[in-house]
Amino acid sequence: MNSLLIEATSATPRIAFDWEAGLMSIRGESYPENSFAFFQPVIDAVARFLAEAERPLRMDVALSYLNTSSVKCIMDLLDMLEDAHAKGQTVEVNWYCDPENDRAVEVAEEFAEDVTLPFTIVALSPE
Amino acid sequence: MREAEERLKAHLKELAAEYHGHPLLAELQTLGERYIRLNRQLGKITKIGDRMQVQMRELNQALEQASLSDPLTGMPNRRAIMRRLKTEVSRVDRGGLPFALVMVDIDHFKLVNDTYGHDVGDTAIVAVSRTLRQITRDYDVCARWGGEEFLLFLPDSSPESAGATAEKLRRGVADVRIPHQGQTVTLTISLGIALHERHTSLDRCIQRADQSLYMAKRAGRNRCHMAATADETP
Repeated sequence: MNSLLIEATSATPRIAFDWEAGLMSIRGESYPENSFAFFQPVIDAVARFLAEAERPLRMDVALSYLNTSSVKCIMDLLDMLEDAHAKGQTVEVNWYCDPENDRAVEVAEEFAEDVTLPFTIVALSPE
Repeated sequence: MREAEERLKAHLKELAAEYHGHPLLAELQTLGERYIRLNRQLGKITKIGDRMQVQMRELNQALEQASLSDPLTGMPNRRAIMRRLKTEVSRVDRGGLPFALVMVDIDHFKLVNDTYGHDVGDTAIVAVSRTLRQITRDYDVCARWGGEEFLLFLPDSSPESAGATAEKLRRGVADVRIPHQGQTVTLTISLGIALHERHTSLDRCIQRADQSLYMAKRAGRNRCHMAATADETP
């Protein structure tokens, strides 16, 4: 089983990785006590997919709050995708954020600025 | 940030071109690149962290704002006026001019609710709040104290000026007309006034305003009652 499902908690996002579809979805708020431990399976799954599956990978991110170490983990994920992109693999990121929230949009832009892979900021109204 | 990275990479290349020694350089090159990547990440992380912090701050301020105002009338709530009054008490104690508190209560409010429904009750509260604000001075504070009760803070007041203001408020509210299904709903208020005196507690002043309100109610409602000065009350 290469797919991954981690249900959301009050401090961690819901993670759903569909190996067949090539879709990694990260959604919620992220301030785990140990972000590196929390995101390790996510990083492993993405690394394995990029190495083994010969299919495009899409990452959907909807994080309304990230603590600093989660930012680092997301950057690591983006770096992996960026390397794959540089090697000619098809990868894309959809970053969902509330367009009314200027700060959230700025955060999205900061992440987008860091990569050259297709990175789309998608308007998402808060539920 | 990308620019700085490019510059560093170029510099590493130059170094490589100049170097003719042991092939330790390949490792140095890798280390250099890793350093560049980590440095770039660090820069980003701190920037994003700062933005998150600003976002939290703004959220906090919005919450603080919401926690101090009454959603129905937009007036300061009890918490807000208490906060203000505490600073005013120390100002008066340091030699500032006395202030008056006026406790206002809509007469027979339960009857309004029971007769016309809660929507009209809410409309009545909003109408009274508007009248209170229109008649008081810009630097007075009108707050929603509870259900159908309001507390007014009138700085720089004498018993005469506070009494006159209270009477104006009473008449102003009596003139309010609320149309409801072809009928007209009218309202009256009762008011209890107390002047704060130096070196007495805020609670005592609120209590005296409250007692005066009770006196106004007992005397038949739709009237003002002024508390005796603190010295005279037991």
